[in-house]
Amino acid sequence: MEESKLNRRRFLKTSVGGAALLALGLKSNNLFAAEETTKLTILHTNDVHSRIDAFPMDGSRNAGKGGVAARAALINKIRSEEKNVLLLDAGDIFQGTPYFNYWGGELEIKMMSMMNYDASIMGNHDFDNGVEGFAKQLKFANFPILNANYNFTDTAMEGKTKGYQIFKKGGLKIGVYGLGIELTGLVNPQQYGNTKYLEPIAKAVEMERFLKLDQKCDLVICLSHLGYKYKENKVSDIVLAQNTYYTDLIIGGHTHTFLNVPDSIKNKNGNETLVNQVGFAGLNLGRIDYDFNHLKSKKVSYTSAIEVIDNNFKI
Amino acid sequence: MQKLRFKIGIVTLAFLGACGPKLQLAKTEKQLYPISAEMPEDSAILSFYQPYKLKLDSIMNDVLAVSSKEIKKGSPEGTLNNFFADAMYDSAKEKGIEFDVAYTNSGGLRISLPEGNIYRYKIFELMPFENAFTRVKFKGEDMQKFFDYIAESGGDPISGARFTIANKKAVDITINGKPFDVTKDYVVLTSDYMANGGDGGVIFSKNIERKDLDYKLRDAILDYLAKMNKEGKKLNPVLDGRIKIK
Repeated sequence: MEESKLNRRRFLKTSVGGAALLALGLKSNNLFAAEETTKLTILHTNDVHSRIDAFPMDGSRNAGKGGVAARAALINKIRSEEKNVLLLDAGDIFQGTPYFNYWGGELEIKMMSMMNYDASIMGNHDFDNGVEGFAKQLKFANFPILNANYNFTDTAMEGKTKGYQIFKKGGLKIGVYGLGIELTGLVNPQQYGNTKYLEPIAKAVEMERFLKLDQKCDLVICLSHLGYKYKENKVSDIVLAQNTYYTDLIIGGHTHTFLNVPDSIKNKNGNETLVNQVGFAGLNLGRIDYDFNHLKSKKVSYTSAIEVIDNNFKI
Repeated sequence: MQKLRFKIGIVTLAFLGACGPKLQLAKTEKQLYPISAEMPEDSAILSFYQPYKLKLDSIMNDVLAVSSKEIKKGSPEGTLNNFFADAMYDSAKEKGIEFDVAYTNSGGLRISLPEGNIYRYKIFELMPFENAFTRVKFKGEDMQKFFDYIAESGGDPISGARFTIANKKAVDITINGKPFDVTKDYVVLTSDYMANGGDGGVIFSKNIERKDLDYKLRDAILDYLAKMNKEGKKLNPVLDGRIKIK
């Protein structure tokens, strides 16, 4: 007991929130002792809303929290520890601090490029300077904007987004597609212009079939700005999870929902779809690690863990 | 060990179909990393945005007002709701704009205001949008529906009117101290965003007259704070029962 405590303490000093990982790692090694696995690390944000500085130290609830520079350092550290990392964002990059009022999102996009984001989507507030306002900043993005259910024909974004993107990491194929929220009644018509919103579930089913069945992706991820769930009968990430067949993970946004652990939803095939969302303003970075077996075993183990890193916990 | 708490969840076994992708998903782990003040910061990012930060700091850090308490959003009524709507009302009247009721949507108020100094950047964060005022005239029956729309959402920032929510409908409405008269037309001062039907505000399409004004909501808040400051007044918005629930 004493020894294990010591080990854990030492581990804590050297690794990002290592204790839970270590404990789980040991367990999984026992379970899959002889099998070769490939690990994929998904990092994600949503609704960062132009929050570039950390919240000011003014005694308010989020004082000192968030900030792009701290997030970038954490991302770099994880990249140095993990081979296969995907960094994704679920929209509403824009609007919320004077950085956006003065520079129209240029800094936000440039810094996402510096952090090597792999993909993002457009949230409703990404239309706040009009379709043109977003299109103008696209030249600073070295990552794709994925939106399967907006038709941008006859807008400044025409031909500048994709429905999906396939990433290859460590022999894995990961298909990522994007879904946006209905704009009517949420965004000024002048701002979204000729953008047409297409029914998201039909689009999702089309995307996931293509990615899983045709392209044989090992994992299918949806970046969604539909919102986590609603009291009224309205499409949301939960509704989407229940009505799709092959989407493994939905990374959501819009409702600024703080989930400590992803929701596990049974999809149309009776399999598990994870739904996650990590609040807003870059207060959190979400992380999901998948281990893939190279053997065609039918047995699949599922392990869930959460850890809370206190403010005084140094990484 | 107190610094780090962790829970290990259950290990379950499930079965997947044999067909499909070449690799099988074996294990999933999830973590959440709160970004805290003590974390190291990336120097490339810091030096990239430093010039922009200095520019903003030079124009956004002046103290516009002092608040005697934290000002928060609430439902059916909140101190932030009342502050915001009263500021809209007061500044628009100062400009000579004619209307009966000032209104905006609760979702448009993006942050709380702290106790103490209110810096300029806080007002940008409270009202980051470039929304401008719009005057919307309703027939009496649609004015009732406008109040019902607020009642259904559980209460929104409003100034110049009082009412009670009963079964998601607005009752006992008074407008500037006088009982609501369904035979009269009324003018609501709101944002162009709401007048365009934003935030589910389809009622605004029923207007019989609309006039867009060249006066931004954020500027109205800034003007109101300047006036308070000039008069030596601290911010101290109160709940005055303008929206009640039966």
